[in-house]
Amino acid sequence: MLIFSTFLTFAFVSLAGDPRQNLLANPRFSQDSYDRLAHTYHLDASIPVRYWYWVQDVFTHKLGRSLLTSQAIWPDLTRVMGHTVQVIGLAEIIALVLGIAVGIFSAVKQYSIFDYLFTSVSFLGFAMPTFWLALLLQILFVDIYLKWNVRIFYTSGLNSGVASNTWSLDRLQHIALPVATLAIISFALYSRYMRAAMLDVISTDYIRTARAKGLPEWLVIMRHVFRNALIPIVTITALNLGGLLGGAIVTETVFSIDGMGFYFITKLGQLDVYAVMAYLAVTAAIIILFNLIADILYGYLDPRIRYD
Amino acid sequence: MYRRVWLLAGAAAAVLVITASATATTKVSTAASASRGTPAAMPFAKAFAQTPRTVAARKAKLTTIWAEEQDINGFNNNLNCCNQLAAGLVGNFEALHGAFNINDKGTYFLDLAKSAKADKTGVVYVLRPDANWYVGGKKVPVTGKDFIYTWQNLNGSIKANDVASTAGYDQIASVTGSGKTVTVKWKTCPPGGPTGTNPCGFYADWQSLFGGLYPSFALQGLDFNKIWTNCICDAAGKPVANGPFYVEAYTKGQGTVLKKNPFYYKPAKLNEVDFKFIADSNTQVQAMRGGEVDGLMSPTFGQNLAPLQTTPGVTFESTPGYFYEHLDLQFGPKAQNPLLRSPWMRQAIMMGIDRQAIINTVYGALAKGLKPLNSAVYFQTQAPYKPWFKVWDFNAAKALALLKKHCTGGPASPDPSNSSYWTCSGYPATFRFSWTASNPTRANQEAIIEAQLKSIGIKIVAAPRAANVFFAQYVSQGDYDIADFAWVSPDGDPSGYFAIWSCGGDSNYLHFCSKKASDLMAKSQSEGDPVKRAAEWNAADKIMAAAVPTIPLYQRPAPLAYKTALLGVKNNPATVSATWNIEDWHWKS
Repeated sequence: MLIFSTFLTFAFVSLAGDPRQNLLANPRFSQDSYDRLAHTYHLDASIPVRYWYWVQDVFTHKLGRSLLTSQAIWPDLTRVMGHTVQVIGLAEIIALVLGIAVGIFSAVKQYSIFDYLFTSVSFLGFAMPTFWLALLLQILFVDIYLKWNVRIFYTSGLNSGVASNTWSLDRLQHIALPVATLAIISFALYSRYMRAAMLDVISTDYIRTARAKGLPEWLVIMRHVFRNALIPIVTITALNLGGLLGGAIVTETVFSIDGMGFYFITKLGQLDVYAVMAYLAVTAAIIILFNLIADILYGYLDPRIRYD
Repeated sequence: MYRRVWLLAGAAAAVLVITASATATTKVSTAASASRGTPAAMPFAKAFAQTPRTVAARKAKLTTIWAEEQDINGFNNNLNCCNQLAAGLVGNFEALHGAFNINDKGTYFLDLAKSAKADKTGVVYVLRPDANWYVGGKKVPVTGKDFIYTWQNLNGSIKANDVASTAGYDQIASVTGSGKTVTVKWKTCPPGGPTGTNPCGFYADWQSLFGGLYPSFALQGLDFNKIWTNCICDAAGKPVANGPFYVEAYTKGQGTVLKKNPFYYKPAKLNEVDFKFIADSNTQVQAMRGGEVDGLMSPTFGQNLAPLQTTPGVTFESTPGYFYEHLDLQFGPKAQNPLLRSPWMRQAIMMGIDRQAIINTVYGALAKGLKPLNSAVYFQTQAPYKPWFKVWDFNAAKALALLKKHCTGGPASPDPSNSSYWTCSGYPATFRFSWTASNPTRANQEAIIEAQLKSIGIKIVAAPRAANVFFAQYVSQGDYDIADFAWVSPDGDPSGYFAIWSCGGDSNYLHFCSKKASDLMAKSQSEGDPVKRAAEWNAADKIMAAAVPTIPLYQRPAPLAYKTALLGVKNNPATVSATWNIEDWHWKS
């Protein structure tokens, strides 16, 4: 299955175009050089042969070397993955904490002003295109800077005036806006799922029984309702997190974050097949890993689920 | 109890993962760890540590930060991998100088050479006595050895070298001189003259040669294909430069830090220039407004730059660059409509297109004063430019009259709501129009041209192509009727057009062939007298203007935006862009 899927992906990416094409725009670039490049990088070979070269490279050179630069791909991938983890990790923690809290409260206080307010906020979060929200946040904080000369957040990159190898205020100021963009969108998702799951559980018989036996309301909500309502949230979080770690392409591009998504879109644009394949392999592994984590968490959350 | 332990363990793991990832940015090889053959400079973050974060602080420290759209594949930009404009802008142009440089008028001037005299036999360079290399704080003179190393690695004789172009260097027979006088001899041509496989004789664009020298002493024994992937440095990772700045640091995905080279003959007025990679042009604009950067280096021209025209404290300007924006008309076998082989049809198409209206719509106030280009070999900002194509300026009535002579069924007069199209010799006047789909400027141009030609009875069928296939699968294969793209000339010299317009030229994708024009172009390639050479190119251009194989649209503007308080910044039509005089940049006191 793995061989089949990687072969298909390799074939599709390879057939998408010729990585040498940008060189043709230079009239001083000779046909000889063009042909020599094809031979050097096996671009003149058939797709199955090229795929075989790629497989060899994967095992001998840790996911291979870039078709364009001949540089190792693995160091690039680990670098961009590190940056993506920082942004996605923070955004997801914020979105989960707020989303779960708001979801619980909205369910407990169903049809209250609070519930209506956050339902509206959630729909707004869902409806806003990422690029638009990102640009809006940039303009907002630049305008604040221009009006009051106060630098709250930066609009691009990972750092400016301080070393980036440790957590610092400068790093936080730089990643705050991409984190906010992703958190707002994920918050909308989690709060809606949490509310719906809570409402499902609240109306079940065993909750009525728990209340009837005189348990305090907070205990009913936190011990009986919340825990059971967490199962769908775990599923959606695992899928969302796995997908986002593969790269928030739009967010990383708009904020110039040197992350997985930006790496992918750049390499795809250059038709650097080996780099794209390496990215896809790593992303697939991340998604499988997070699905596995979700499965393990099911067992923890629901005692009825046990693995032999 | 166990649940709490699980939760705590999970939270701790999450914190660990995020904290560990925070160190990821510094995982590039350092000078100390640089292995022979792949030297590297120190990480950008480390060098960037002391960079002031406000404009006022940068002013005080004689520092400036500029935004650049693209990260680089490496600094050795003569290689195929790394033949990117970005590599030049963020370090190469500032660190590696040569015999000549190009000024804001787009013309060559002596740089590290005190004098340079070329004739039919060769060139003699006399280098400045104060032309030196900076090598990790030490001074080493620039000598003929650097010319020899540069020539040997770029002339194509070392087959393993993956160089993008050998043009000019492959016409040199020898380079001699180990001191400050360098003698270059051209290859002697056989009786039949130069051929594609045997370039020889005088190279007309000789001033472009040795524009960026390699430090021979620092690179001896290293694999030319593997040098300078992360730095411009010697084998030990020490920065090397003979220009006004050296590359102190580079980190992939983030940027470069350039420091003043104290040994450059005209010391820079700033101590440091940093380039930060900001991929999105809207974000560049916001970073500029918010004072995160002091300038934008060659941003992609678009209406999104418009806010910078009115941003206080920002100077926005554009100069016509050496970009030949044009329409190619296909003569070859893959053209779907043979009507394009008829000169009257090509002339009618050109007269049916209001090029000034396109310029006004696409660029508006961002490029005031930009006029249609009327030459296929010279740019309007160059002295030898003659507007041969002006005779086909927009004139819908004339275009219609021409079509009426050869075709039937079209409109009686130009009409924007026209729905009747010409049929000529049994062929409908319908043509595919191709461009890079993701390019909004060209998409607008197509829409305008489609509407303009519709009004005179010529039907345009939009055939946008994805960026990754447009050139390799369509343009270079001649698979189009009309194609909108640009040729980029590094220095504006017409020599590159020989491959494009001559019969059987390597880049003659439109399959146009005029023996007379080809001969003139071939002759000009080895013409030593600039006046005679310009006359030959103009004669060829005149022949092409009569045939209209291409429709010049305009000289694409090169935008530039920077803080008004930063003085000495001057735009440049060549690819060297505003970096050509970076040593003159300084903050207003």
